[in-house]
Amino acid sequence: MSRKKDPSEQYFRDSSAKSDNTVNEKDKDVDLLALKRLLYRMPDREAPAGLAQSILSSLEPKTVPAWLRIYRWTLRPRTVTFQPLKLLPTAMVILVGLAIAFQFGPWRKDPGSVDPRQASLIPITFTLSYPKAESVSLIGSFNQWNPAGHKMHRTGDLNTWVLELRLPEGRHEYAFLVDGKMVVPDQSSPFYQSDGFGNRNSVLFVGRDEPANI
Amino acid sequence: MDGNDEQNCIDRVLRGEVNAFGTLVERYQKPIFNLMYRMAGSSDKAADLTQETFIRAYQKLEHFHPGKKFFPWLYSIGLNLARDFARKKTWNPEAGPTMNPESFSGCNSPGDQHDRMCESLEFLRLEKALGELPLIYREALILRYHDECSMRDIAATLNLSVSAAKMRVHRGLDMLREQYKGGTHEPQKRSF
Repeated sequence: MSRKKDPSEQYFRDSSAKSDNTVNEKDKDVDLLALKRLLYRMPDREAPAGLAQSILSSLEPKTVPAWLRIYRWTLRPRTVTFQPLKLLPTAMVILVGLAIAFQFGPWRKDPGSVDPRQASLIPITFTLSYPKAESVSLIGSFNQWNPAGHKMHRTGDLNTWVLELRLPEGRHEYAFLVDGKMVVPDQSSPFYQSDGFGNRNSVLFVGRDEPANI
Repeated sequence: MDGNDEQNCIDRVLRGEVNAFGTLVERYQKPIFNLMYRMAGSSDKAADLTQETFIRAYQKLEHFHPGKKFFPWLYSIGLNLARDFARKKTWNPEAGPTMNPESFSGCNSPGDQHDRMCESLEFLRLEKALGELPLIYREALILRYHDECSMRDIAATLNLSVSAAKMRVHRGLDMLREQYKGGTHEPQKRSF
């Protein structure tokens, strides 16, 4: 058997001549690398000829119950392979099928129908007469006192600020935020609630019998 | 042969085809025989133990988990047999690796012969140092650096966690280094 000579093995041939027992870490790394190479190249002994035949001749055919074979079959991992190009027609058929189902199936939305949640909301028009204001927003318990998205608009005579909202039935507190800094209650509301910080919030009761304009 | 081929062989064996097991025997008889030779130090005994390993694997084949690698499972059976053998056997410190003079017969020149002899001496020294290591460390090193098994396979073979297998290999390498350098430490008491 011819093998390539490994230069690192020379280290071990000379190692016995070393009198110094304090081997530093670098030497240790060299030792370990050389050992790994030696282990890798360590020759194997061949198994005796005829061993495999001797083993097989001592075995009897196995009789494993069918249920165990089926159980093992279910445990066996499998690899699924596919070609995207071949899968494309199938994907197209599935997509078309889904589109048809949504267009004509029971999930199809009737254009004339009204969302039941929207139907239960009652339209309310908020108005504030404040000609000097630069901007007015409506804040209240229905929008977590957040003025974003609830800016009021001036009417044609520029004296009145207006916003229409759809609110669920129940009690709501609200106020107007003028120029982004001044909280102004609704003077036309008959009910008030202190906010605990010295301001008053207007109170609105929304029901089917209540007037739709504030 | 990959994992699927092995699994096909096992399926065929479980359907009653004994000869399908021959493929697995041919594939793995060498590492198992060498494991047993390192333990027994004799070809005859190693062949007996190898045969016993394969017969035991055959008997327990329906318990082999599909999807796992066959070699670590087989090797762990061999290791258990090797441990049993070591418990029964009285260790003879004189028994050990020997140099085969036939290995130099193909050399063309005295220089070649010298190189081959030096190389053989290196391997003899390595085998002797390996022989002084406890079985679990020795086999962890053989599996890692000779059979090039992954740490996951070594862990499965030695019934350890992957981190414990890494530690075993690391520690085994340090112990082998000490044994290989020789002279500075007494050989360790053999344990299995």
